[in-house]
Amino acid sequence: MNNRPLEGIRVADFGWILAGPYATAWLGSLGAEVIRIESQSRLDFHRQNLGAGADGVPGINRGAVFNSLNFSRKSLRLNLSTPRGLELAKELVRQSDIVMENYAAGVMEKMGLGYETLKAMNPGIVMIATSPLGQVGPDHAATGWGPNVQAYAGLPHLTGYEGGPPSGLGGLYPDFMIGTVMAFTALSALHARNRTGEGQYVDLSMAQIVSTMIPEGIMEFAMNGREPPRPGNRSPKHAPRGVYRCQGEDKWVAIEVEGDEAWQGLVGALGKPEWDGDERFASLEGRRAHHDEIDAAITAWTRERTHYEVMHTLQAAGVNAAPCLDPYELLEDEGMAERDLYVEMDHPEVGPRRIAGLPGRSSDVEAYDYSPAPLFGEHSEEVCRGLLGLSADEYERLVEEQVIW
Amino acid sequence: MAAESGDGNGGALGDLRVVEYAQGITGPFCAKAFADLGADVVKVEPLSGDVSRGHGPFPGDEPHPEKSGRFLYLNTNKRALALDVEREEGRELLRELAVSADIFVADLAPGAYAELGLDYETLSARSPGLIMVCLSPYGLTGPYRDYQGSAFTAFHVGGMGRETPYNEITDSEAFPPLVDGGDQGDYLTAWTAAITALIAVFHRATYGTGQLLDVSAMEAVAGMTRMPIASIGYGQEPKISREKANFPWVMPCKDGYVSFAPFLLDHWWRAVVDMMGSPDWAVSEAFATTMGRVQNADVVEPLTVEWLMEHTKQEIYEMALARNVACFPVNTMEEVLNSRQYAARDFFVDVEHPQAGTQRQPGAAGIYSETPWAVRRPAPLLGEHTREVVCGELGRTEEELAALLAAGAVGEARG
Repeated sequence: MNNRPLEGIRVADFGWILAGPYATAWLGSLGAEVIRIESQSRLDFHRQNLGAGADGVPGINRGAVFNSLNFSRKSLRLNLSTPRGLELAKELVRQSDIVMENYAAGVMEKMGLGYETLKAMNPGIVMIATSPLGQVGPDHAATGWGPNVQAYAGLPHLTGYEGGPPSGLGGLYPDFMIGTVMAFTALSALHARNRTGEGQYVDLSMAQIVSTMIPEGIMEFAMNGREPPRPGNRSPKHAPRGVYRCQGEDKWVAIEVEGDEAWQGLVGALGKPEWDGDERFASLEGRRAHHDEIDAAITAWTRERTHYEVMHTLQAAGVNAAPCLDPYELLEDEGMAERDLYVEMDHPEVGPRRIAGLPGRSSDVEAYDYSPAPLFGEHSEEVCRGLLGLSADEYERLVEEQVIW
Repeated sequence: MAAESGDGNGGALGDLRVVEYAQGITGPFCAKAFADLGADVVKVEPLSGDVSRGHGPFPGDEPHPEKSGRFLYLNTNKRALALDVEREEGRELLRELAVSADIFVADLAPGAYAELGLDYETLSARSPGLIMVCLSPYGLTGPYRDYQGSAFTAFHVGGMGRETPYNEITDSEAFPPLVDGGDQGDYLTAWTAAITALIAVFHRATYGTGQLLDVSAMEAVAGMTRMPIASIGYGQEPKISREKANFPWVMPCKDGYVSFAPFLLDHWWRAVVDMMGSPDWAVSEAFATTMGRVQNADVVEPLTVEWLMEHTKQEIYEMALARNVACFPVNTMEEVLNSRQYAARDFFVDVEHPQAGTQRQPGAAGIYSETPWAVRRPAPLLGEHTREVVCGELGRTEEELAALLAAGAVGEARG
């Protein structure tokens, strides 16, 4: 076994909803012992799985969203609004290496779990706090989910059909990307601690994470005082570029012609010899000026073909093209089959289910060390009576008193 | 106090050395994640320079290889050397550099590594602990490995395009799947590459071995569209199109747009009803629950928009802030640059560059209490550190450098 590089690292996981659980999915799948604190008193939105339990049956352990993000960890029920629950949480932190949380700014402090308190008990602790606009600053209290925060960061302003309004991205973007950044940040701070012995606190802003990923738009305004136009699927750098209708219901292919040579390839594949040597299309500027005409000819050709067929034909001709796949197609795609992203996890209540694991592949390392999402409180007794040192009687009493709740 | 690290710059990753032979966004942004946290990053460019040098924005719209906004941003804290991999002397320098690194980031076509003697087998034989990150559109193996790709096609093939714009359109024939306007297909792939590379550093510390990391842009994007995959696995019909079925993320208001999602949580909705002055329609029992609001989105949304249209995005944002409701303005670039929150957190950095002047650019994603993120040097000029690296770290004499320059195997910044 060589897939547990974080063996021996313990993570007190106060994350919830999307980004937090995805961040600790990384850590847990690398061998860290991730203990997620949850409770009836502050139930994760996705434990409630509003009408969306496995096979249409609702249930706290049956949510598709919850179970597909909260793999590779333990679940400990602790009611943090009780003094004893809080005390046990602190004891867990005292014995942990990393604290992960993505509540709104200030919530951890309010609960009595602020960094200063935790650091006093455990000076080496690494704490990664992720909130919409960060823990400090005049607007730190802003609350919200990733897809809304991306608007503050500027990404939807850049996105949209030509001449249309700004648009939000799909995929619940940017939450899973933010979870990845949270995990990277935790590892970077742990790496520093391994050298210096010192822990630290990192105050991550979801909005800042997204703004660091749109530098061209921001610097366009900073340099030239100009808002970039929303180009739809087109681009000022390459033409033609677009998404074209193919055979089948709502099937499309994305094509990007990245230079004059690729243009020659496209002309050949389309069977448009009359375009060969046509001065109007000889340069990027010319093709941009006649984009509509070119698009009409491409569409006439793609309509008669499947999106995969267009991909294979155009790629063979040296043109960048790819089908716009839906999730059913991704699950069946031959290229994706190579990647092992989709994995089956055998969940204790809902049985084996296929979900997306973690991306990335290595030559010499076994697959990620996944375990299925835990049942609600599945590990409460194990953690309380083991790590936290409670007796059997005390454990039962705390369950009754709704501390372990 | 700042923790002292390997090279004394105080960054969290200050003891790591990264060599980058990659262009455009993905590889450089991945290496920037390390560079900005203190790693020593040597960027290797072809003699003609990273293609980003030709991409704007440029100050005053005047293209110049040392003034590209994209390049200046993506290459902070790196030193740069220019060489020609078409020449064996150039390739050998690149190999020597790669094996001197903890992490080697490359984005050659999958079939080109072996041809150039830059494949993992060759390099790891010289440096068994090497972590090599290969970036490609579809991975190093499989039926598409030799296919071209880009941020645009990755976004679409990985499934993001079909869900964009989110819940906004009604005529899917007229409105095809849409790409984002910020090359996220590349930027998010860079984060996948960065985290797998850092995991490999921990792996090496635990197990003593390096590894080859094969990062596929298609897979990185597909990793974002994980919700419908879960739905299918759970016996549910996922929403798989950009067509409107529920509330969109973006809604219009008096002077622009806001991103507003008060519908999903009851306490947010109650606060929004209060914001709107508790109109009769909004206090209706039919909308008191999440399911009620979602099922009646075609009623709730237009009535909410009617109210939004009477208020500016700043007014709405301030009202939401005061009530702890999730609502953000859809900021323009100007508004992002003028954000009072970003200003208070010193988000933007003004980086002084010898040719481009001082340019404002995005800074850190967050604030490290002990090992600060920092710009310690601006993006390098093309070939700026060729002499320093070739004669220093690679141990060539001045005469050997002169011969390499004369042969066109390496290039140096002029002046």
